[in-house]
Amino acid sequence: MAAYSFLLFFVFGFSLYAAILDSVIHNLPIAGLGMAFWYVVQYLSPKGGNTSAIFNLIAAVLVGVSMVSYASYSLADALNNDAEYQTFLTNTLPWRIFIGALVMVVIVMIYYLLKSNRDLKEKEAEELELQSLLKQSELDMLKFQINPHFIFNSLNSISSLTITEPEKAREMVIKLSDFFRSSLGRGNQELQTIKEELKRMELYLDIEKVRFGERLKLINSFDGKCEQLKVPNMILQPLYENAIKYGVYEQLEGVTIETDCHCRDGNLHISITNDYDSEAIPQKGKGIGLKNIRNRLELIYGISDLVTIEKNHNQFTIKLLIPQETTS
Amino acid sequence: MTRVLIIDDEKLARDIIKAYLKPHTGFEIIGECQNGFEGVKMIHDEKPDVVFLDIQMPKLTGFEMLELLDEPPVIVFSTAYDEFAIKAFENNAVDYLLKPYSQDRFDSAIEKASEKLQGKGDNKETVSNLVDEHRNAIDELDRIVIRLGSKIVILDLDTIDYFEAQDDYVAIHSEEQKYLKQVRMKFLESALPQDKFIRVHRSYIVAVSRIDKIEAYSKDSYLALLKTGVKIPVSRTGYNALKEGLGF
Repeated sequence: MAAYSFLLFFVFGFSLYAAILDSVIHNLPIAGLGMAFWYVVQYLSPKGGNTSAIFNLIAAVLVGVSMVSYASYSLADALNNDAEYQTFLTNTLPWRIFIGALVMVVIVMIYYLLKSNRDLKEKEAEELELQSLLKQSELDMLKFQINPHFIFNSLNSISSLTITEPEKAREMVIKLSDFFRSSLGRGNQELQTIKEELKRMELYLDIEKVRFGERLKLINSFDGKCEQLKVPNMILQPLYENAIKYGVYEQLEGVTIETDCHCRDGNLHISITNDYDSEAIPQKGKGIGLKNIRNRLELIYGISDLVTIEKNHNQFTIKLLIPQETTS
Repeated sequence: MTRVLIIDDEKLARDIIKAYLKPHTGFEIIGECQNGFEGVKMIHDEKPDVVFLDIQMPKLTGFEMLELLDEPPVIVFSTAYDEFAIKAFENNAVDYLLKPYSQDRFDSAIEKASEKLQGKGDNKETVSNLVDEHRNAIDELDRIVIRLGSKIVILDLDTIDYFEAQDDYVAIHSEEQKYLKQVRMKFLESALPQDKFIRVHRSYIVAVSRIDKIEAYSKDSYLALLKTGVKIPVSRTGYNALKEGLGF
């Protein structure tokens, strides 16, 4: 506005009063209109290819600027009776409209730039939040995969034991409760020490042993140095469930499950081996547990090949490599 | 005396049936089986009146067992299957006990079984309906069980060349062997994996991977030449199905 007054005063030689009055009357409304467009920009955003919105906006700018300029023109005309000034005013009206429109277009464009920049940041933040939510819910889903068969068959075993061996029934109720308490707990953290995980799996396998009796044999070897290393909660359960399913359900004689845990290069190595009949044609429902484990480990550690499988004619081994650094 | 057989792979599950059966003096337990193989043999040899049958068992499932019985006894399922899965068979199993169950619930199953035994006669039909219902409930077969005298064979679908209708039976040709099974072509057509098996003729279903070439035979019929050298008639509809399935 100052520059505008300066121009009128020195270049065109109007009086200081006339220059300032003209400048105020013409520029203030344009500035006001410019501010008003901020709100228009907030609600009218031309998304990709929406040319009609752009035309509408340009028309609005032209009409707005014309009206404001004409109002300013009338006002200036009434307030200043200097003939030379009035001629100047009339002659410059189209120019004023043109320059005003140009200024307004620039203002609107700046608004859009600001807005899109802000939108982008908001969107990024939203996406980030969504991703972490998704990851969390995926992890939750992958974590609790206990087969309802396990629950109902265990309860049936307990029911049977109450008749023949009530004490053993009580023992099993307690084991089942301990197992559920530790695996269903809401306060559960994503990671826990391998020592805790193995303790929980011992409960699970003890319960299965009551069900299957002699048909299920367990061999464990565990390197005590690793006991504080972390593993994802309940990661081993589906592996034991698979081992039992393929071992106990596909073999008549029963199954031996061998667990080995040791650490090397700061990573935890877990392998679970069960004997199986390579000739058997398994019943339905294969591979879901294993897929879950792969997905879960990938989500947590951001590395894809942490699970390996080895098969020979009568042994099936699944190996997990558990890093000690997670992605989040 | 009503003769009862218990088939369940878990000892404790068998124990509770024995305990619940004790007050029913008209019933005697003639045996216990731990798996489907034993079960089929025992039913065949001992011909029990009532069988308590678990579904998920080693080697053969309870349903697969039923497929292999010529003269099926009265069946009471005792299973941890969820209710929805078992509800479908409500009409044809005499009863189904969802583990764990109470003495009262067991008693009412025994009552139903007794009624069924008195009414007798139509039990064979009941069980064959049961097998059919189970077949309708499964979306896709992944193996086929067959009884060869006293032997039970489980066939992997990948070893099968083709199926051939023969009266009430279907001949299954697999690795130079031929097995007979009482099953309908229509069922096989719908339950076999569609990308692996195609019904090429009223009487034939062929494993797509075994086809070597297809030749014109007459105006409206063709011959499929298998890699084993066997020639199989292909009808016009069958030819179209092959065309669609193989994309030629």
